[in-house]
Order: sequence, then C-alpha cells, then structure tokens
Amino acid sequence: MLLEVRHRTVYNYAELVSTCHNQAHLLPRNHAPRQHVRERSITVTPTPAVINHRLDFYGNTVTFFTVQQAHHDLEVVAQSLVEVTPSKPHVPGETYPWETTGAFMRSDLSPRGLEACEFAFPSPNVPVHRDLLSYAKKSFPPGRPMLQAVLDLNHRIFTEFKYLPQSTTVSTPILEVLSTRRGVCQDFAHLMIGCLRSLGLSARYVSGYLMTVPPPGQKRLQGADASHAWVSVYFPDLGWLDFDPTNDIVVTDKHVTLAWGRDYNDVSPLRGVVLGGGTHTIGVAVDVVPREETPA
Amino acid sequence: MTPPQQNIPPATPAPRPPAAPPPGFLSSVQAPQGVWDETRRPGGAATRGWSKLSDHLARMPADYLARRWARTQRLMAEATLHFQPGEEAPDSAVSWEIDPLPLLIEPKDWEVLRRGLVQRATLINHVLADLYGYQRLLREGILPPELVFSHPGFLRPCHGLSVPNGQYLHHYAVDLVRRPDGNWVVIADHAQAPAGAGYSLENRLMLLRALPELYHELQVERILGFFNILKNSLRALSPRSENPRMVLLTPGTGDPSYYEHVFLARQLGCHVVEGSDLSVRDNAVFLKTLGGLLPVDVVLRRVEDAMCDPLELKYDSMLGVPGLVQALHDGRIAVANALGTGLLDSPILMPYLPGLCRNLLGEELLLISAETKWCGNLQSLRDATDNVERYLIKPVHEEVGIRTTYGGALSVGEREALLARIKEYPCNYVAQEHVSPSCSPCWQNGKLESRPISLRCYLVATEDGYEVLPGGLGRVTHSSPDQIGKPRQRISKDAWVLSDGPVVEPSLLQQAAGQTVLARTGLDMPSRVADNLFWLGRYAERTEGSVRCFRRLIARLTDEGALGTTRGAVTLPEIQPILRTLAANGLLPIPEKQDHRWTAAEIEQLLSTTTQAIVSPDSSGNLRQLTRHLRRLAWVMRDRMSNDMWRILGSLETGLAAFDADETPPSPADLHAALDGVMMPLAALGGLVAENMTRGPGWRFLDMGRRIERAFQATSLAFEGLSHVSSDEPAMLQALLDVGDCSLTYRSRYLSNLQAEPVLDLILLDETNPRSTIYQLDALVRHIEALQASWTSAVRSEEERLALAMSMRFRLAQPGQINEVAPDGTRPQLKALLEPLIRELPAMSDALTRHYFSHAEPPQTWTS
Repeated sequence: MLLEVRHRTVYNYAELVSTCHNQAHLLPRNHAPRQHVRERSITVTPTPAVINHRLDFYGNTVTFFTVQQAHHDLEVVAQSLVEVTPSKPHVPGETYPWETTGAFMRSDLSPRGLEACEFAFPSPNVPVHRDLLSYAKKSFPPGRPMLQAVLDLNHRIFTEFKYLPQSTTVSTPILEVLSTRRGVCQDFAHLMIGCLRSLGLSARYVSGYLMTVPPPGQKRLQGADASHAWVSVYFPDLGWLDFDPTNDIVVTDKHVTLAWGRDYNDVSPLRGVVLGGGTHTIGVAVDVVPREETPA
Repeated sequence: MTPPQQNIPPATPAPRPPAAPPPGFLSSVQAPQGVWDETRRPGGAATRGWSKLSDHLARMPADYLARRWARTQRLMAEATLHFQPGEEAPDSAVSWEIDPLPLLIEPKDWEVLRRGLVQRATLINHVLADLYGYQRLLREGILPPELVFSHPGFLRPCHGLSVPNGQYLHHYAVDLVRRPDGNWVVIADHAQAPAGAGYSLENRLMLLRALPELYHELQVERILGFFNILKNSLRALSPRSENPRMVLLTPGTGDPSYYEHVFLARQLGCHVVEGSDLSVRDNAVFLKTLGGLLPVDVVLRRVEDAMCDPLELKYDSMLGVPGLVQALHDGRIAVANALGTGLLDSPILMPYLPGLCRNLLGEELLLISAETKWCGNLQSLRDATDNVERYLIKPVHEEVGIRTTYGGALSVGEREALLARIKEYPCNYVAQEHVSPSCSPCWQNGKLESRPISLRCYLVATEDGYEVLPGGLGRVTHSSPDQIGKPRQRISKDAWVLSDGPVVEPSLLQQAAGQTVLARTGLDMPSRVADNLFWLGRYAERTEGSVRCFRRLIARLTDEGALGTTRGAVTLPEIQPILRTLAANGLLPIPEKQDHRWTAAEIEQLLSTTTQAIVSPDSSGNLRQLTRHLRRLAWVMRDRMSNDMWRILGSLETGLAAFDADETPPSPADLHAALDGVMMPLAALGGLVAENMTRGPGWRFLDMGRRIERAFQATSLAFEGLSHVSSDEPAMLQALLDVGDCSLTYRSRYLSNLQAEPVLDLILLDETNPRSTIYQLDALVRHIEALQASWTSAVRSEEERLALAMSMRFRLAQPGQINEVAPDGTRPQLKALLEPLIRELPAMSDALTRHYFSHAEPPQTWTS
C-alpha cells in the first residue's frame, strides 16, 4: 500500500523565543521491514540557521536544527510517501519455546544478534521490574511457543487496559500505568517492552503512524490521525516482528515506521530546548492518506 | 633601611606545637603484621628515602616539624575554603587535613608503577575507541555485549562522534593500594572527569613551604610540569590552531570540587564556566560575555557526560549546553574527556583487562586490578553470591542507587536483602575483593602512627602517549573493610617520587604565586561574573550603610537610655528614620511605633532587638546574613578573587561570630568593637578595588552596585528624617551626617552650627562630596555611558534614561528650595526630589540586569 504522510507541529509561545535547538525523528527510516520510502522532506518555519541530518545509533534519520531568529511561532512539517507491504504470516504454534531465546541471543555475535542484545536491557523509560515480570508470566508459561506467548501478551494489554487519551504524560512511569490500567499507545508499548525485557527477551519501541479508516459512509477528517507507537520483538528464528498492543494486531501494511529505539526517549518525534518563550501551546496534526499507484 | 619585621603573628594565638616525633622515629612506627610497610624494604631495612627523612628530622630541633607545620597550616587555611577531594558527598562540610609527612615512592618502584599506568591508560583508551566505534570487541566476543548494552553509562548519541587525536581518555586517574606482597593494585578507575589533581598540587605547595630543606635533600620529582603538559595537550585538541579559548565547565559552586575547578582553571589558563555561560550557534560553542558571544574551542569538563546536553542526552539536565552533541558531530569543539567515557568510570572492565590487553596491545597487563567479578556473568554471579561476605559489592553506575557495601559487615537480614537485589538484576553489580593497603607513617595531633594509605595517580594524553604526574594524591584509608561507609578522619598526603639524580626545574612557588586580583577584566568577561560583581558591590555597600546606621543607633540608645530612666521618656527623632532604613535593608522589622518619645523600657527593648540583629548567628534578616551573602559571592567568584580579597571577605564575620559562645549578650562597647570589625575589612575591600582593579567592565559593574546602594541608603534616610520638620532637628541632622560619613567635612566647613540647608546641600547636592547622592548618580551615568560606548546603538537604554533623569533633577535642585517648609511642617520640594528615587533606583538596577544579565533565565525543554 502506498501511504502519504503529512505531520505538522506548531508551537505558539507567549513570549519571544530568541533561540531554539531541536531534534526531530520525523523522517521515516529508509531501512525498515516491509517498507520502502519513496519521498521524504521536512520544512521548518522560521527558516533555521542550521539544519543537519544524520543517522543515529539505531540507524534512524535524526534531524537537528537551530532557529536563531527571534520568533513567536515554530512550525515543523514533515511529509513522506511510503510504500508498505504486508507482513508474512507465521504459524504461532511452530515457533521456538520462548525460553530458548535468551541463550540464542547470548551465543549470537553476528550483527543481528548484537542488535537484539542491545534491546534486552532496561532503558530510561522502561525499567525491568518484578511486577512487570509477574504480569508477563501469565502469557509466558514454560515451553510456550514464543509467538503464541507474545500474541497473548499483546491481546491481554489490549483487553485489560483502557485507552484513555490525556490520561498520562510522556513522563508517566510504566509501573503506574500497570497499576492504573490505563494509558495511550506509548504507555502500552512501553509496558509491553518492559514485560518482555523483564523476561530477558529483546523488544524495541517503534514510533510511526497508523492509517485510520473512517466509519462507513463518512469522509476522512483532515488531521484526524496521530503519531503512533508499537513494539517490535526479536525472534531468533523469525527476526523482528511488530505488534500493536493498542489495537491488538500484528503490524501489517497500514503502519508506517518512522524510527525505533529502546524507548520513546530515543525517538521522540520532536524535542526542543528554547531560550525565552514563557508558556506555550502546541498543535499537532497528522494525516495518513492512501494514494493510488499512478502507472508510470 | 631596616628589614621588615618577620611575619607578625595574627591576632589569634598560634596553636601550641604538639610534641615532635622522636629522633630516629622509624624504629617507633611499624606497620601492623601482614601489611606492607612503606618505610621498609623486604627484609626490614629502612628504604633509602625514609632513612634520609628520618635522619633529616633527627638533625632538627625537637619542635621543628610542629612549628613549621603550624605556620604553614595557618597560611593555607586563610587561602582556601573547602578542601574536599571529590569522592565525598556534597553535604560533607568536613575539611581535609594534610599530613606533613609525605608518602615516599622509591625511583625503581615508581618506574614499575608508571609503566603500568601508561599501559592501562592506553588500553582503556583503545577500549573506549572501539566501543564508541566499530565494536569489534563485542563482535568477536572479547567483551560480553551485555556488559556494555546494560550499562547506563553507554551513551548512544555519542557513538560515532569523532574525537580529536583519538583521545577519548584525555586525562585519567587511578586509585591504587599496595598489597601485602608489595605490588600496587588498582581498586578504581576514573575515566570521565577525575578529581583531585589540583589538590595534589596544593598539597605539594604546602609541604614545600613547610619543609623546603627536606624536599631538596630528598630530590623529589617536580609535578608542576605535568600541569603544563595538561595545558598544552588541551590546546592541542582545539579544532582551531591559533589562540584557542579553553573553558572549564563546572556544575557550579555547589559541587564539592568547585574549589579545585577554580584552582585547576588558574593553572591551565581557562575560564571557569557553567552551562548557562555557554551557547551553541551555527553548531559552534560560544561564551556569553559582556562584549557578546566569543568562540570556545576546548571544553575541559567537570560535568558528568550524560548531563552535558539537555537536547540529546539527559533531558532534565540544567548543567549542560543544549546543542553540544551536534557541535561535536560537526567537529567545531573539543570536549575532554570525550562524552561517553563515564562508561568506564565503573569497575566493569577490570575482570576483562588482561584479555583486552593481550588482544588490543599484544602485551601482558602490567598493573593488576583488585580481583573483580561482574555479576552479569552467570559464573561470576554464583561466585559473588555464594561468598558475598568476602566481597565489596559495588554498583556499576550511580543510577543503581546503592553505595559500596562490604558483605562481611552486613547482618544476616541485610545480606539477604542485598543478595535478592543482586539476583533480581545482576548486571548492575560487581563484587570486588578487599585489598589490605600498605601503611605509612602519619603525623597527626602530635602522634606518629602507621596508617593505611591509598594513592590516586593522574595521567594525561600527549602526542607521544600518556604522561604520568610523578606523585599523586595520597589518602589515609580504611584499615579494614568493615569501616567502609563509616565516618572517618580525612587525611591526605602528598606523594613524593624520589629521583636517582638531581632534579632541575623552575621553582613551583614562583610560578604559582603569580596570581593577580581579578585577572581578566574586559569585554570577554562572562555576563554571569559581571552580574556577581554588581551584587558584590551592592551587598558591600548595603553592609557598610547598615553598620553606620547600627553605630549611630547604639550610640544614641546607650547615651539616652540612662536619661530616659530619670525623665520618664526622651525625644529621639532620628531613631525612627534609622530603623526604617535598616528595615529597608532587611535587617530589622518595620517599627510599629509612630512617635519619637522613647521610654527607658522601650529603649532597652530596642537595644536588645538591635543586638540580636547584629550578632545573632541564625542567619535570616540580620547583619550576619549580609556578611554571608558577601562571602558567598566571593566564593562563586573565587577564580576572580585575589587571596587578599578573599581573606578580607572571609574575615567579615569573625568579629560578629566572637559572641556565639557567650551566654550573656554583648555590651554596647562589645557591639561597637564588633561593628568596627565589619567596617575595617569593608574599607580594605574598597581600597583594594580602588587601587588594584583595572577599570574594565568588571570594575564598572562592581562600582555601579556600590553607587546604587549608596544613593539609596542616603536618600531613604534623608527622606524618612527630613520630609517632616521634627522637634529636635539638630539630632536628626547629626545622624544624617554620621551615617553619611560627612560629619568631618561639615564641621570643617560650618563648624558645629547644625542647619538643615547646608546639611541637605552636603549630603544630597554637592558634586564634590563622594558620599553625596548626586555624586553617585553622576558616577552611574558615566558608567552606563562607558559601557554603552562599547556597543553601537542609537537608542538610549532604559537604565541610561533613568540615570540621566535622576541626575538632571538633582543638578537642577537648589538647596534653598528643597529646604522650604510648608505650613503643615513638611518639606514638599525635598519630598518631590527624593521620593521618585526610592522607586527609580531599583528600577534602574532591574533594567541593568535585564540588559546585561538576562541569560540567567533557564532554558526550557519540550518534547512532542
């Protein structure tokens, strides 16, 4: 499926901002499973004095820019055209027992194995904890095939937690999410990652977009979509597979991957440090629209 | 000409010299059984150094060491404030003592140690370069990947940063102890911002002052050269070749090592800066100064690496510089040590060093580490938990949230809790054997004892490999691991590396003494420093004004108190205005009383309140608080202060503190003496500023602070006292002259004929009187214009408009007019002249602050 993404972020400041330094993870990664990026661009207003793109430690494209002219408003628009292909189906019962993964990982020093190892440990937003472990254990009885277990955990988070916009902030700890049983996509992704890492498994946080389908008979509302987050899990036999606990699905061809990292902190879409500004308001609008393939 | 008197002793009596060590004292100090004795060679004979040292002391008079030491300590105590090598918690106000007896290291031993240290630094640098680069060590299984990936100190955003000259580990320190078999063993590595090199230099200075003959007789390797190498190698990191600007980035004055940062920066010719003094523009780093942004080339950091950039590293850090990582990616700045080196501040690498050394250098590891196990390895975890009582358990990173714990000192319950913690997440812990340290003679409180010691050694990278500071920071340490974490006496020792031949080098003292008052004044002064100087001026003048008010107040209250008892009550018109002025300075509550009749009881009550406001040690709303403000400002500008200035400001509180231990309140005579004790240093400070400070922007800000405050003090007292005609006006006029320090001038002009008009003229309108208000306003206009001349702007700044307006009104005022009294007993013209000043002076101060120091506003971080 060919998806066109437009992600616009606007900051309005009460007072003048003299300088701001920003870091953006807003350009979809070139190297991601199931996707091919055809076009991508980022536009900042006012025009930044400096704008650099580089690859970060995880291979994401990170954009750094500095606005050095005084401003009241900052607008960042990222646009891309991404071709996404459906994931291959796997038979859950045929995957290896989940306990064997740790040993596989430890003995695998190939780039693939090292990459998996990188995501097996706690990170700033995702601790490992005995409460996470005991929550996870219900889906991971001894000997259960790994894919079955992960799908079960994905499903349990979907059914046992309530999706409540604005119920949490970017700094709500996942242990709090675990006890209040509510949150947003980012919390569910963090929670699932924390469960998996507490079991010694490898899981990473994926930031991206999900194309939404309007109810039958209604038109797509502009800007109705949002940034999304889900989880990628390492299977020694199958590689990385993506799961979306917010929607209880295996990620298919409606998800566009922006970036991945250990948690939200590694890949937050837009971060800034400003001098001045006072209070601010923020506006975000995301559109993910399917585009008809035009024959060449 | 007669030679000047030998050191006149200070007012405080010298401590009585304790008894000296006996001649041939080596026979009397023996290390306990089973540990290495630093004074002896295997077999029991004294080492060459210690036998020379012992002979030297034996030749000297019995109290030689005691006397020399007492004098040196006094000198140093005045010049330093906190003496705390960095390992201690910031709240520990306990200062370190220096032991007069050095730790001696024989030439041969040193050569072995030196080679081992150089190899270790080289090795660790290679490891860092690999981990922040290709990671061959992980790909080939030389290091377990979990060791690195699980460590909070592995900073992903710093992976792939290019590091000038490949020097990740630009400088480095190692903690060592000497095992019972005589081998030095590493117990800790300090890879990111090793503290203490400055202290070792200061220890050296102190011992050199105390024992110069011994120092020369023993042929001790010089250490100053190391600091020159450090300086040159920092310069060599600069991306620009000519005149690089170097800064030392400190977490600030609250850091326990702040004093050392200042000391080190002086040696290296760096500015001491905080994160907010720096700004990234166009991917380059700049220092915010009065003259604008100046490029910075090299940052010697004393801020933990994760805290260095709130944009890309720890997001809530206020200590760093937003955009620094990007500037590093762009190669526009060098930071030493490289960001990310904190990874190896922990003991995780120790178990793997022998293998790494063979793999990376093709050599055997020369300098061994204490036996260490990383619990992330299953076998190590089992060993550590099965024998936890034998090990020191250390966290791999401070985020882990435990202190080093000795398993053997724990109760059964504590041990179980620790084991549960380790097993829950083993990667966070290492277990390290405790090494019994060697013992060396220490001379403390007149007693000679053999005490366990550790040694911290320092290295710096040069083009030709690592150089080692020949010496280091010796410390008296725990004799047994049970003592770890318990309070102890903190004693450091200078380490003397002995030389086989004569040592030639320029005198250390000569080089280190070349410090001047406020070395860099000019437009490259950081704005924050100018801000602090401004407030130093304000607080100094506010203190002086308050002292003058207190003096007059106490004199009147004690003179009239007796009279009050006989007459029932007395009229004292100047008391209320003085009290209001002191209240405006925050030193007394605003008086509730309105009239000028004072009964004996009221006078007694007021005298008691005043006494409290002067001497009470509880520091809020009293004179002590002002003197402490001054001391604090001096402390945060320690790098800009001469030792004289520092001593002067340090002595401000001495007179006031003299009564702390007394049970009865001080007498009025005592109070006068105490107030004099504040006034004299302030006068000395004024003298130093007038005579020693270059007339750059720094001086202007300090002087503006003074002028604003002095104008405010004079104006508010005149306003309070003369807006209304009072029944006993001469008393009020006399108070104005006294507090304004104009009595002498007045008497010389008008004899003792006290009248309002000439008094008003002298204290408000006389441009030739340096204490008059108009003199202050004119000086402010000059300063503001001079500062503005450095920039080009057609628009008058807000502070300039305010200063000009105030000055103009005073120029146009006439003594006769402002003295006119209306039928209701007020002086309307005087009121009209003075009242606006009480608003406009603070407004001008705010305008100055906004104009020059507005960067003080902290940056804010957001994410979406």
